[in-house]
Amino acid sequence: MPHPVKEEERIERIIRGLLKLPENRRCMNCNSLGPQYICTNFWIFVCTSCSGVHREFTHRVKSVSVAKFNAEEVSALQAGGNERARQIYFKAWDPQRHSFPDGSNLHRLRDFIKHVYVDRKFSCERSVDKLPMVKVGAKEDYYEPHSIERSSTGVRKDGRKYYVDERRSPPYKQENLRSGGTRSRPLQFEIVDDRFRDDGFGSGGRSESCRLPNAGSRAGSRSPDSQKKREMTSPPVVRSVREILGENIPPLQVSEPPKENVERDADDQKAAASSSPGSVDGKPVEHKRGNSVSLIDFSTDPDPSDTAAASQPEKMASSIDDGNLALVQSSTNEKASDAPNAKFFGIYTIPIVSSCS
Amino acid sequence: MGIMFTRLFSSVFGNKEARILVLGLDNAGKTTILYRLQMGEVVSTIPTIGFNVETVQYNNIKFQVWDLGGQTSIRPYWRCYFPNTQAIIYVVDSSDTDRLVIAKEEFHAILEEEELKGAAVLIFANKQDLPGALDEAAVTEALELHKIKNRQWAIFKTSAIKGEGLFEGLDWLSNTLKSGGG
Repeated sequence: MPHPVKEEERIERIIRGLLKLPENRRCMNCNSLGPQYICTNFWIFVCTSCSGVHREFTHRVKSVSVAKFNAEEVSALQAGGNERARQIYFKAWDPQRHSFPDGSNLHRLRDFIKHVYVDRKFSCERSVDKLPMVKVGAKEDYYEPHSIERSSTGVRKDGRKYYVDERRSPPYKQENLRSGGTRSRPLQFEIVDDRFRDDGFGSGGRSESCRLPNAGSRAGSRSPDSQKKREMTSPPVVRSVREILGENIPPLQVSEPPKENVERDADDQKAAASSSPGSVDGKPVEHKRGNSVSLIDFSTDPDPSDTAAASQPEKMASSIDDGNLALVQSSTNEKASDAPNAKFFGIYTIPIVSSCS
Repeated sequence: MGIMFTRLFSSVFGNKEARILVLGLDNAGKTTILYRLQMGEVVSTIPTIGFNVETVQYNNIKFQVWDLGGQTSIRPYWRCYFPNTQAIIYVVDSSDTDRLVIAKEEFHAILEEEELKGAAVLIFANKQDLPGALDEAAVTEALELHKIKNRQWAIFKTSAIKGEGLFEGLDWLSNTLKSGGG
């Protein structure tokens, strides 16, 4: 082991060096000069006010000058940094439409940080590592397969732990993000909102196209849920969506047998459970899932589609041998009734396929 | 003369002053607790570099509460504040189970300090509002509180955000300080 003092000096030098990199010279969030804190959940450099806000979201913040970093943390920081984080959390960021908050407006800062790191509105990938801010009320028991994947690092299965995990092993985390896990109910509402607000439906806006595969992958594994919700959808809404999306999504007509998709999902989850979710299989899987979604939602008439779709969950469920997936199914069914707000969800998953890859 | 009179007055009416240190790892919630006690509100905090000090009047005791920054490199400076301290409030982030070991080490290091020999210790198992937070029994075990000898101590479950458990802790503290002289 290296000499402790030397080691400390070395680490400090590295961190000082990192701070001098152009991308780390300014606060990740509010762009103020000379960030003095590091948020170790995302390995970003932030200013004092942003560090305070991050802590409100239970993100861990360490001061560059008065905290100590170990070698592990430093290498994570070297691999991370503001530029890297920008690629992840601001992937769908459109400077034309969105603007960075300034450090003086705490409310805006808070909203901003929530959107970017908690809801991951702009990150293009599904937030596998949902942060502890997620209300536990919506505890995701039916995500068991993924929890197992996470717990392979010896971490428990509650929200808080994901955060810890994330903090500890960023490369691993990123892989997970890449492979597009399926988690977080709260996010689905964001999706809906965003689409309403940001751009015309189906116009292929960046944030939209990026987010959709996530929704798709979710719908792929949990379609029964969305189906049931859809049944509650009021006809006008359904119609408008179909109108809008109709022209823009040719690939959606793909009609693969749902069975295959489900198996695919099962495979995927098994792979994930083996704790090495390579980014390799991420993309093809997304495509597959997208297809399965299109099959679910793409029918000409909203009402018949409801009935047709409603029969699918049973089919899917029966085709599943995997114990974990069976669990997913049953708990989604239970859940379906108590989440009427999510009724839009099933519908909006439609365009997923084509736009993102 | 004025001072004499004040002292006499306070001793007759039971007004006491106590110097309290709030310690704990970074991000345990010390500053939030301090301002929750003082103002009754949740304030937005930034990591404390240095200290915050406020007085809190409670149960006829005027607590002078020092909240010291908990980041790693400034923990060694805690000891500068140890002299004349009647009590320690040690704050633990009950949901940060990974760092409980560190919290324990820091805690027992504090107890070793000669200057804090007579200080009562109040432990706040904070952040009970978060999922996965350990309860006071689990925190007691993790901090190995049973090893505490010759000292008055107590542990309370708290949530500074919700304002739960804090004043119960201060109740205990004021009773302890009143009965134990100090």
